[in-house]
Amino acid sequence: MATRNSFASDLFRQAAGSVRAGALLGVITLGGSALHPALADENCTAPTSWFPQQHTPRPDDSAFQSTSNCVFHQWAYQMFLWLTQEWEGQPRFLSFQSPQSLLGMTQRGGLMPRMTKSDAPESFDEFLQAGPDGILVDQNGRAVYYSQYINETFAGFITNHHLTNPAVVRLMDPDTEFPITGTRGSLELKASWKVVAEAEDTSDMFTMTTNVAKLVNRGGKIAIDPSKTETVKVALVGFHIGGVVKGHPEMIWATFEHKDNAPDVAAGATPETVVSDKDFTFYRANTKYADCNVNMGGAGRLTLDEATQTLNPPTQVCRLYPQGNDTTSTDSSVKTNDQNIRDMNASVHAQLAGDSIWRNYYEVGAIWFLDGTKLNPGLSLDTDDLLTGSLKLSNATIETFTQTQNTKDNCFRCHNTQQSFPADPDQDPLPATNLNISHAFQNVYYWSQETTQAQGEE
Amino acid sequence: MSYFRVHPAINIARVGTSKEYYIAPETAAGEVVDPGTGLFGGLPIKAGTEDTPIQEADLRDAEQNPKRQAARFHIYAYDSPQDQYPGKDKGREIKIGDRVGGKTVKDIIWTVHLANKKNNNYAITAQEYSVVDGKYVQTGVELGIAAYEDGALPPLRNPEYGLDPGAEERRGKLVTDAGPRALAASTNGAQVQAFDKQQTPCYADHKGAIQDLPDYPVSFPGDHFSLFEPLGPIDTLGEMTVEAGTGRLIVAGGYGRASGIEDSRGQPPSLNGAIDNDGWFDDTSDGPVTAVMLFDDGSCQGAVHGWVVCTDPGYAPQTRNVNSVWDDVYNTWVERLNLVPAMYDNGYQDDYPASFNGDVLPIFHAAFLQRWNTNLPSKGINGHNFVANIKPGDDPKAKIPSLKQLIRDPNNTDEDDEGVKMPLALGDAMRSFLALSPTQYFLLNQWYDGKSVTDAPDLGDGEKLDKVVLENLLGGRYSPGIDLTFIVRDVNLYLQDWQGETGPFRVNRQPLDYGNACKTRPFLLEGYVPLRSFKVEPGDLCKYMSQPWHTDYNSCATHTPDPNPVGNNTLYWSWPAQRPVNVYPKSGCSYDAASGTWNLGGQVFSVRGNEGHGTATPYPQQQGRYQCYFDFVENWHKVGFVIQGLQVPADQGGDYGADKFVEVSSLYETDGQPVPPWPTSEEPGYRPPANCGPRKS
Repeated sequence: MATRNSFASDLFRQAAGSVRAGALLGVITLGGSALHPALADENCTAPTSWFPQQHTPRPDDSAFQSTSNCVFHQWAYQMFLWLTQEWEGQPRFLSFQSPQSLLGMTQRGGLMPRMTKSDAPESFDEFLQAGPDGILVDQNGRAVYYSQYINETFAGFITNHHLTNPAVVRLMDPDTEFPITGTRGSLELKASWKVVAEAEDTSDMFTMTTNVAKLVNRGGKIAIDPSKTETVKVALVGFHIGGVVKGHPEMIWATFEHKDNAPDVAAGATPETVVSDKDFTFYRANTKYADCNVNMGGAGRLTLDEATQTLNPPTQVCRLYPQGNDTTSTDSSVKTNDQNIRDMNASVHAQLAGDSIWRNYYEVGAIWFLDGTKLNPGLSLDTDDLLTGSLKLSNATIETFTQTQNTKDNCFRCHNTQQSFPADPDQDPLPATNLNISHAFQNVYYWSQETTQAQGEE
Repeated sequence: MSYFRVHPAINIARVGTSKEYYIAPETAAGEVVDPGTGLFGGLPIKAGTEDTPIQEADLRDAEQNPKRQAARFHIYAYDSPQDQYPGKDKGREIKIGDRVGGKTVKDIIWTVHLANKKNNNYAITAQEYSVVDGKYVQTGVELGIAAYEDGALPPLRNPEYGLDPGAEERRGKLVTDAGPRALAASTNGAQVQAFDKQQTPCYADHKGAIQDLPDYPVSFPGDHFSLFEPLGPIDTLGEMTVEAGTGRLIVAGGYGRASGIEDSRGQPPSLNGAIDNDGWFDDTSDGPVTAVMLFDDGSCQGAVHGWVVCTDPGYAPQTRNVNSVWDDVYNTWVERLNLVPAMYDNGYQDDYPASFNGDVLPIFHAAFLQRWNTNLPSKGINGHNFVANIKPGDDPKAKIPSLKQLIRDPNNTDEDDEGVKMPLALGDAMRSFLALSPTQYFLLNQWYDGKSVTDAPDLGDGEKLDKVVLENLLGGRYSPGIDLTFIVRDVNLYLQDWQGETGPFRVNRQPLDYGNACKTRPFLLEGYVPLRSFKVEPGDLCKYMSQPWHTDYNSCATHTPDPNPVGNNTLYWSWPAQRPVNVYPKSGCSYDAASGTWNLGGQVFSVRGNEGHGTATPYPQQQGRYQCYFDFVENWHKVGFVIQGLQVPADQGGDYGADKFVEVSSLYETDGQPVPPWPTSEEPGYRPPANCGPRKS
């Protein structure tokens, strides 16, 4: 045991040293911003140099300057364009590895041996939304699936510092931050996918054929069975980007959606208000607000037909906060933020090729820390005191059921740096660290204990 | 010389619509009482048995009426004066025929006096909704005991009957007083003394002789008013008898009735408030329990009295409150009445060891049990399961990396509104969220800092009864509460000179001279008022509860905090351990033949009826309750009970299992609205139905 601790300590002197060095190099120079934020925010557009999308350069995360609200959305959109840029015949993000791959796992559902050399997920096996155990059911009765990715900076950091070893994590300097390697900050991504029905028109969505794990009725609940998969066509409906840039180790959290996912709820709507008279991908025309975003899965009122893999009833999705803010807000920074988003969407869409599938996706919003706010272990981030940007940011397909509750209504409510406790009482909890901001990191911490337990059982 | 005490010091009876009853629990919720099966404590006891816990079939009678919970009192003998807590002399229970101090107990004469003074008391001034000028507005501020500080008093209930609570007009009409009843243990269950109008009051004098009181001014609401009586007349506060074979006293309370004073047009008063509804009576009650021991040599000796309180039904008896009445009472006694000077002597003592099993595990088990009455999401359930799994030998800091981040500090008001710290339920007296008592928090931190032992100090059986009863009651959020309220934090409520024969936790009883009773004059005075030295009369405990209890029960599902932290719209539970909000019905469970176990289904609201204006609403803050208080008055008896699966027999698998607590015996016919996992949030714009009633046709 002493040897193990000593080994870990050595690692962490190295790790902490490297982080401190990074922090020294990345001194924030926000106070000396040359450009007045208001001026920069007047016309928030995508530079022509990003287009055509095939040539969109990756943002230089190490050179990020927090000069205005606009630059955060520019970073978010540039990253989206780069991640969806075609690379080796598919959008680039699909070449990224999954968090599970850090542990040599293929899927969450079990410690199955990898069947390919790729580190990408072999099948989508995530169907529960983070938070209140929600299942998003599309109008055809199929569950929406989720897939997660990390970039090489993230993966290298975890691997090089042996953070797949839970004992090492517990000895880690809790102030350790996710790094920027060269120009590339750590990234974690989540995509939401709709299963495409036969004859369903998804010509304006990015689609692909993949394997999804089947749903089963098990233990009185709807669960995933990774051993049973089916090959389906899926369409991308939502996309989260969490990325570290210079001066923002908390990550900029941005989210994108397909344009036809769900209608916006007008300010002042009552439960009886019909949100829209049009059909959307996840909304039946003339549904009342009272019937929107009802978490039937969490309530145990979904039924699953295993044979057809269909759930009932479908979820009627409505978006509470376009641009991730209350549209009635009189706060000037909120108004600026929301206008920046609208301007960026218009600018990007105008400059993308007319036949680009990505013109059908748009930035809902992004959120990050206020200038001068330091990331610290143990931040609950349960209020907006430290936050700016889209303060009520949810992706209608990823956080469908937590759009209104102030305790869950933006990314940082859950992505915070507090300690966390395992689902398995035999595992060890995760102390408060700056890295806890990433759920991929938290998941790896607990999965790594499953791996240890499984090895112990063998 | 030997002396005697009635135990428990305070016991709880509960209303039911059945004439039948079961016995109040004598084990603590949250404590594993049978490690072999995993059975948790807190379950009431089958009538006629020593300690057989009730099962599903025992909750209602053949007509599906919920049974009442009767309080059972015991006599314990002690041989040496108490000089510490727990006492060195553990005492022993006494029955007729036992020898004590060279004498044989010939009989035990019990006397109980029940009354209800709710209508001649002060308003709770709790936050509530009212209709003002046709608009639905929030009114009132709930201050708890602070409303009585610096000589202040809250407004009186029923001011139209005068503004002096000591005036005969008010005491005579607004107080329900059944008077005393006495019974010899030797009747052995063959006799019943009813607290009604028919039975003549009687009491045991200091020699143990039962004296009739034909001139006692018994008072029931119908004696003074024309009443609207939707559940039948309030013509009794219950009855007492003796447990056959043991000589113990059994006190059963009222039937959950509510009656309103009709106006000049014959209409009942409105019922729109959560707590203070003038003109409404209920049949809850409280009062002293005294006993005189008769010996074979002709001598007699009084026992230190107990107190019985009859209150709301216990719909989730095994769910422990994270902060129980015990925790508040113990905190008061530790900090202010010198109960455990080794722990607290002008401040908490740094070297005092906590007990893992006695001080720490109950908190963790309470947290772990909340899921059965709330809509906790899996993350919350997992966290609670995790702490409940901590063992005495575990390194606290390895199990909880930061206790300070996890648990709200009750001594730091800055943490009052932190909606991420535990316990995550609503607070009281202008504190947004619930906190552990300072004593609980101190002891938890002692454990966390490595200053703990495994086992709790050994209590005598009588002391255990005193503690267990209070452990099963709702603490922390007295707005006003379910069983007892903020008065338990007032040292004036208690006999403070506890060392010697008295012992701790005894109500500061006003001796009653029944020789002065006469028909023409109300007997009971204003009685106990918080932060004053007036002694406690019958009816003085329950008078600080809701008027009637039904409205507060209905209301207290989920709310935003008061005060509501800036930007908060999330709903939190009011009294989840005592007033289930979301439950897993037995009917929703499914049997898994492969594993031989039952699986849970989805949750439903505990209160989910369609009667009257019903419970359904799209406004989450109003869900799980009747939209009109009167509908709950008429249908409260339909609410189901949450008990451990072990006590719920099943055709397959024997029972529903120790690992789950399911709702049984609900009379609601539908599943009602879906229950999504927490968090849910307030939706603005709610308007209550305009015609809630009641109206007399």
